[in-house]
Amino acid sequence: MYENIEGKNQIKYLLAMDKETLLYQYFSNQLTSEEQEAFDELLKNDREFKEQYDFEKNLQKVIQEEKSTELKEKLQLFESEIKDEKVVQLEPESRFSVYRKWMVAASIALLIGLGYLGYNNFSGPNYNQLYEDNFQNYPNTVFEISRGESVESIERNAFSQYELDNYAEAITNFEKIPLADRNDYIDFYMGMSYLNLKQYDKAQEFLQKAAESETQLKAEAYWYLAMVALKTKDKQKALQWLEILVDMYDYKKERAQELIDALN
Amino acid sequence: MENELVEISLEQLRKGADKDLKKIYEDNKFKFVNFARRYQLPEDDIIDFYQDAYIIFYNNVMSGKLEHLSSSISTYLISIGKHLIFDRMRKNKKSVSEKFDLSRVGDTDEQISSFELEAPDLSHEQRLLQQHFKSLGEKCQQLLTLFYYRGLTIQEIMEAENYNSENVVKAAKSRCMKTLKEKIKSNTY
Repeated sequence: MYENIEGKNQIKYLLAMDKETLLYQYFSNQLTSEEQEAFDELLKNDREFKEQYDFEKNLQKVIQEEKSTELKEKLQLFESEIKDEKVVQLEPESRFSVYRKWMVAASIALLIGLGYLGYNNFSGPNYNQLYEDNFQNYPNTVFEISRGESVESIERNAFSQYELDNYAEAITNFEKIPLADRNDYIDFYMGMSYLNLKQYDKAQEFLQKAAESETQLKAEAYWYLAMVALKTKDKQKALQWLEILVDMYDYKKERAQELIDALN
Repeated sequence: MENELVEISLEQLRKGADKDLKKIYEDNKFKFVNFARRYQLPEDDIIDFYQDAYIIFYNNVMSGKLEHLSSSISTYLISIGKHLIFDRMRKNKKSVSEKFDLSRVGDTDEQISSFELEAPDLSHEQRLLQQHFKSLGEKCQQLLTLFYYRGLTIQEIMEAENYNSENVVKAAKSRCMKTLKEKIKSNTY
């Protein structure tokens, strides 16, 4: 009898305890069994408390989902790396010699590049600077990478590689999508992947396709075509794309106008 | 001796370095795939189940629900995988033949009985919350993650993130929560 009253008083005391503290104890797994009782009591009877609890519980779920998605992407990457490693092991020697050839080619290119840089800095608009100031990668806005879809897994892979900045793998996956099944935004993202890989001819080819298609990303395609033109120092083309953009679309309109002025 | 080795890798998993995550992934894959083949699933599905089991295992390690391994990681992964595979079969209303005796699942898989086994499926409201959460600054996201995902105490967070005092952590947390609530109210991100 006495103990019972004692117990009730205990709960009353705990109820008076800071509700915030109770929630904190709950989420850091520190509730004692008495506190747990008080906690359950509040959940039942205190609407405000319940709302706050729901909010924090939702947040917990959201973060957990976020972490799970991140990890899933990593695991898919591991999986494809494991497959790639197997392929690579088959022909280590030829890879090495290819690598050496590239090294030689790269050093020659670097020498030429350095000489050119010295020359280029004193003439005309600074294309590289304009590019650096204006280029920002375009995020994946079309494909939601969520778990457990197997039908669209190639496309999902492509976009998760794209989001991880693995553009070569992204392209490999985009290319695996049968032509008939390709969504109209694929050309745009192929172009963006090549642009990020600094393969400007290819980038232009795909972005131009995107610009001429019916995709929602047409305006974006023109903008990035202009970026390619800046990178390849093609003033005429840069102006051409930017003018189309300014005339027909709202996307990046002001930036585009500023660029036109800078180029002229 | 072997137990010690296992213990180390759990600690490493918690730190979450990619190379350790990958090593655990590679080391246990073969066993899992071998186990799952008996259910005659397509190879891609098996990999998918393996990854989902891995994620659930990882989440339970991270949230402190699993503090010490009482058997090898592959045993945990297989137990979780079995749960996922059966769950899918039940949902697809595929008859589970006597080959896969469900009544026997319970006693073999005691070690995962306290696990959170559901992959969270977000409601519309939670999706919105997720957008807002992702629009928070890096520091807020990290802090809230340590708190709600890892279940760390204020003191542990202070030590892990080099905050000056517990009060600083508390203040930072309530600022983050306030920002988050404001974002929800104004619905901008």
